[in-house]
Amino acid sequence: MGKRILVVDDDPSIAEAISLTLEDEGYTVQTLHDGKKVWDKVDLWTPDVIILDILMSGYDGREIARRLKEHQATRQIPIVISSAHPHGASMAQEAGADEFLPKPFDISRLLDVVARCAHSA
Amino acid sequence: MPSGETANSSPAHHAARAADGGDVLESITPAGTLDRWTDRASRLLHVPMACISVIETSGAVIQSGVGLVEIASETGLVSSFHLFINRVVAQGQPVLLSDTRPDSSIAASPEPRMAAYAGVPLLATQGDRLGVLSVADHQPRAWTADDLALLQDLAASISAHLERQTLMGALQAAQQETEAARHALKRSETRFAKTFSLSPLILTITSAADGRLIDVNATFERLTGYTREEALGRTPVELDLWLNPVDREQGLQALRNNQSISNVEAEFRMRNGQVMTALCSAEVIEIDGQPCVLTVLNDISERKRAEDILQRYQLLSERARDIVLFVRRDGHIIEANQAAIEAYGYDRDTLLSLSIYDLRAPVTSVEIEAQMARADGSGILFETVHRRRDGSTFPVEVSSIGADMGGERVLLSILRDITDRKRLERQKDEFIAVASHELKTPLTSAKVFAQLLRKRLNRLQDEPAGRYLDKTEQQIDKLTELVNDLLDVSRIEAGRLELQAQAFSLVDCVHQIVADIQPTADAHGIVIEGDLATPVVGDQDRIGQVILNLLTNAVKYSPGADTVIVRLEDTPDQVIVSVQDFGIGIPPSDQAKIFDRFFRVDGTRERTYPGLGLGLYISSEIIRRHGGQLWVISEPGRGSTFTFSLPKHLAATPSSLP
Repeated sequence: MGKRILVVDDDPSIAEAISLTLEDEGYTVQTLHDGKKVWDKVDLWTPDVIILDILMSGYDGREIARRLKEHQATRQIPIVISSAHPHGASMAQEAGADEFLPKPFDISRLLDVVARCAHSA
Repeated sequence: MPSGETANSSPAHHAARAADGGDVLESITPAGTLDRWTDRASRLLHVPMACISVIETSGAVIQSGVGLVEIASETGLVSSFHLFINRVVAQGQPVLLSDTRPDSSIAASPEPRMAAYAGVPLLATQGDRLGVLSVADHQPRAWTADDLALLQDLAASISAHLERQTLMGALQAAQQETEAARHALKRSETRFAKTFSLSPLILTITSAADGRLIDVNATFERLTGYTREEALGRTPVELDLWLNPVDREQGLQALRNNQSISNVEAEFRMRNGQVMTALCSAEVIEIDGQPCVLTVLNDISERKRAEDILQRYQLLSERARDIVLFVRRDGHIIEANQAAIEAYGYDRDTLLSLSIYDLRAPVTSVEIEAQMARADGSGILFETVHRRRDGSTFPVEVSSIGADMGGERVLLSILRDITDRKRLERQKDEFIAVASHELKTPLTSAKVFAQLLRKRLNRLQDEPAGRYLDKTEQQIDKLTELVNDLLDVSRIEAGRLELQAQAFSLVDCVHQIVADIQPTADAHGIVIEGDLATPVVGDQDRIGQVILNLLTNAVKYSPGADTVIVRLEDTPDQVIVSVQDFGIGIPPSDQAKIFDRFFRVDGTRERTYPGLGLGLYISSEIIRRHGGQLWVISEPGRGSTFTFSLPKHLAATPSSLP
């Protein structure tokens, strides 16, 4: 069983693309399009790495990252924030994310980042 | 008293002076003349004593005497003389006393040396009593008719003399009075003439009859521009002095009614056409029996102008939508306009009792003091947050500069509520963020799917499908670049291009980019010349973006060439990076425009080299924001060299870029 990766992105196409890429490399992937469901999923499934979009309709990826990092139970899960936002890098840093992945990206870069996080997890 | 002695030495004369108390009689009645008459009376009548007394306001006063000197101290003699003189005055008739000794009236003061007295009145032509001619003897003497006739002859002559003298005296007095009056007039005239000519006010005298100018002063000449010669004999209307004829009509009417007007404001046209505002006063006076008008004009143009300017500035300040505050160096607010009252919610009095420290949202006094010091120096423009009376805050842009006002150093501050601007900035930021997200999201998934497809195709070993996929990926990358450029332009236009400054190795940066781009530029060899000794300070990604832009342009616009040269140069103040190609070049007429937004070279090349033409605009903006410059030297057909410089002094302030 590969490392568990939770992909949270309100764009189904991106979530699917990331999911396919990672599964191809042997990761176990689950996707969410609604930020609010992250808490339940994290409780039930305990992912090894979480990939978060910032600008999700109705829910801010930064807020999720911040709260995950605040909670004792989830603090150690590496978080990758992936965004096309002009200030994405600094926003990711402020929210306490471990990695930032600017969109659009090469899959090789995606795999590098996830591998780094999964290794440390 | 011997004749020829000076009259002033005579005691009798002294008495006369004392009684009269004036200089007039002395000057018009030379004692010498009377002395000659007394002398003559004494000789003709063979008497040792003779005197002439003249009636003055205080009574009869002995004016001249003969034989009285040696007995002057014996007051009794004089007293008896007076007694008899007064009797003559009272009776208006001659008094002849042959023997005065038995006279009961002098029994009390026996007069051993006067034994006979004869006195005749001195009468004017009209019968007025002028005085008395008296003679006296030490022996009793029977006065003859001849004696009396002689005395009366003498008296007539003396009377005529006295009358003439009195008349002359009166005449002279009158003359002197006239003289004094003339002097006074002269002095007054001189004073008037001086005042007239030296007055800082415009003074004119016009004839009431025809309105012609009779006299004007130097101030008139100086202020109106008309010389005296030009003005005299002409009317103010002929000189076209009145700007509004109605003013003149009203002035004249008032003058007719009241004989004077005072401080009526009117406008006058000067010789050069300029308008003078003056307070006009006038009065009808008489000169040489002719009614004239003395007019005084007080030029208040300057005051008027100053008032106008003041009013204008007051209006400007009061009606301005910006807050205007005058602040003392200790922070106390000494003036505030209506906009300030509305913005802060305090009434004027309260506002003027506050300090700038009360209006600033919490910020250290050290910070405020530093800002005030800088404002006082060269002026300052900054953004801060101010607090209203109700505690709410609003962002302001402050423009403040020091000024001297009434001998006091104050800061003139103009503050603009930038709440709306801030909101707009936020909206722009938000738009850019949303646009970026919306445009890049499909690109992101398209790129990932294309790459996933490649992996599958690689396994199927379908060569043509692989090439198609290459094209697809290239187009996705190109589209990504275009989106990035458009977003950059939006950011630049919104003033939101944010730079993250840090020290980095520009040399490494250049090598990395060349290494990245070389594989895609298979026809060109990219050569790096030179080196840089020190790291530079700036936004590494953005400067890298500039270098990449210059390199891709160099490759793109030199299709026939095989080399692109990157040169690095260190100068004491700057680092210089240039990218040279040997391609088509740029016509001189276009060289300045290629850094403009959306500029594209016209003509056939448009189709040959597609793109939005944003790269050089963005690059030059990035370099400009770093305090550097980007320029080009190019020759059509021989290639172009794009060069940018970055100042080294930025190293001193790595955290903040303008």
